[in-house]
Amino acid sequence: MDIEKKADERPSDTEILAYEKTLRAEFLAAPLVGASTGFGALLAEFHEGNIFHKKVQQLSGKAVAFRAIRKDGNCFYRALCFALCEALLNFQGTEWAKRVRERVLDSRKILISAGYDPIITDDFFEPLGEAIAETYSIEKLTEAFEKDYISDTIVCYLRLVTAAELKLNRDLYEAFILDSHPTIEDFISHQVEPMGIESDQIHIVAMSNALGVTINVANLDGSDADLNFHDITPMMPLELENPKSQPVLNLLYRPGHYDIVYL
Amino acid sequence: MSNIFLKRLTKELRDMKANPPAGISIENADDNLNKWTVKLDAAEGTIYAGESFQLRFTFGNKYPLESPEVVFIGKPPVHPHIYSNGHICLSILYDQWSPALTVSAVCLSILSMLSSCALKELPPDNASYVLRAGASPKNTTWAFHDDTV
Repeated sequence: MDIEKKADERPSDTEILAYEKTLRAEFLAAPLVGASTGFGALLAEFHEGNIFHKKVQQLSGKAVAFRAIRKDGNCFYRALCFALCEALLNFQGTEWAKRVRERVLDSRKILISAGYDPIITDDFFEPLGEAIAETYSIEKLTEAFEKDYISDTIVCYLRLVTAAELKLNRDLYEAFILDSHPTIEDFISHQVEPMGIESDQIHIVAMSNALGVTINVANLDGSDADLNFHDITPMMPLELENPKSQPVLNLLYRPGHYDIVYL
Repeated sequence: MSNIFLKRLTKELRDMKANPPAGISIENADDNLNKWTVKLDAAEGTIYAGESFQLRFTFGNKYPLESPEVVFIGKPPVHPHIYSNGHICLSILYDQWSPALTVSAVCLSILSMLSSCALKELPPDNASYVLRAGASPKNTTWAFHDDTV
């Protein structure tokens, strides 16, 4: 069927669905966690003169490297966890690494307090437990995150930790979701637990609070300002003798997606 | 096949056989645990009292990260969210599946869907849905608009 369309005519639903399907297939063919690269490929995604292009240029002046994460709706958790495990390796032996490991191990108890059955959720913890081990290496980490079963199980576990954090500290979070969901439970079952559902600011804040880590998000949005950064610090920070020296996990946000950056 | 699949299903099967929730019993599970048949006995005091139904669970190798396929086999209950081909319109089986859900939790949800129903009637679009639906309800694009029945 070949119907000529006026330039301003909206594409049909079928056309939109077909286009989305092509895009999705393209996204899903990308690696779960890409190699650490420069900013050339990212820059090439935008036209010169475009505000995103300008902001990537600004970012490349400040950052040393970029690591693309697959666009499958799980990118925030995958990016955060890879960045966290990588920082644990780079900061091996520090007090920070020790405290973060404790927090991650304690997250199993948080899940139980939130009403999850450990018989079910401990299976999801296992791959993360291995990935934060002191004996791990960057090679093993990259290999593990490339296996979708391991990588997705870790994402799933972090989704449950986010859900538990929201449930257990609902007073902190309720105000941000009540205009779109009647209860925290409803928000969790729609926006947190299902795989492939994208994350928002509230998920990032919950993860930062649950794990005690500082997350810095380079905000690549379409606004006409300079590139800005959102620093998300935990309400209950890790107990550190020298809190100023702890690493920050840097992510790059663009509408609908998170990647890792190295500043 | 991922090892969490067998580990998880083995645990679930053992647990459901040892402590079956009221109204739910496992009739059969394949040796490789891919397909289970579960019998549901409708609760007393509901419009389905005295009736029993069979559910078939089919687990893909990404279970529990992906939802199982769940359909009624034999004669499905007459219910506004259950199609006469056995497909069930229930969000947790599709978009809102959580890997923390279990076979037992799914069965309890379906039983409670039956218990809260006041009138035995087919979904309004039953005839057209059954004509166009594929074999698996997981390939249907579901719209969930009514959580009250």
